[in-house]
Amino acid sequence: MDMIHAVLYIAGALMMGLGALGASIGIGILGGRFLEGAARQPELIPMLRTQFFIVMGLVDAVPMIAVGLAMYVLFAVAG
Amino acid sequence: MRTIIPQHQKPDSDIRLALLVQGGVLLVAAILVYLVYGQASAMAVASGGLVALANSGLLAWRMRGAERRVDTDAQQDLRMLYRTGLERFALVVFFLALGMGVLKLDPPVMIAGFVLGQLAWLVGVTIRLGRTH
Repeated sequence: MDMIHAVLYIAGALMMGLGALGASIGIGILGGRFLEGAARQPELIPMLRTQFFIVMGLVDAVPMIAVGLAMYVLFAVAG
Repeated sequence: MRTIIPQHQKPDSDIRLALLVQGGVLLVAAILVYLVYGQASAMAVASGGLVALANSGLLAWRMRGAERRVDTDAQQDLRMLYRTGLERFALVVFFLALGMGVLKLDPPVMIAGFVLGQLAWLVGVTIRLGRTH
């Protein structure tokens, strides 16, 4: 494997890994805040649940793009 | 713990606006690409966009399912959220690999469609959040 291919694989891995890291931090904070809110006011759980899912869609939209780009680099450019 | 939620406190589950924005943007993009670059590119854009649409559709479906429950078990909601995250990740990886690897669609164009779909979803959700608050 030459140097260019090695760097491309590292780039793809970094894209996926850093995207996953960002998403996991975001979803971890989101889940923690949801539990905090649910413990504080259990009667608001239905409303919090909806917001929780919507914000999750926002949090992992950008890492999903990173996954798509990483797959392109890994399978189309390097592969 | 199970509680009955009064009708007026039920959460607004209408996330259709975000899905409609996404679908509309993808349709327009596919038509434009078809007119400018031809059928193969339009197929690739539409496939990438459909992956993004399936991704957000799965989230909306799970969200609707969670809202139908009347219990207030936060732990179960959290479990459902993490499971949905994994399902969505697997769905995106599977369908992108299918499109690029098996169907041999043009990868940059397919990724462009996917990115466009995700951006349209972001815009749609932001609009919806703006309407909620």
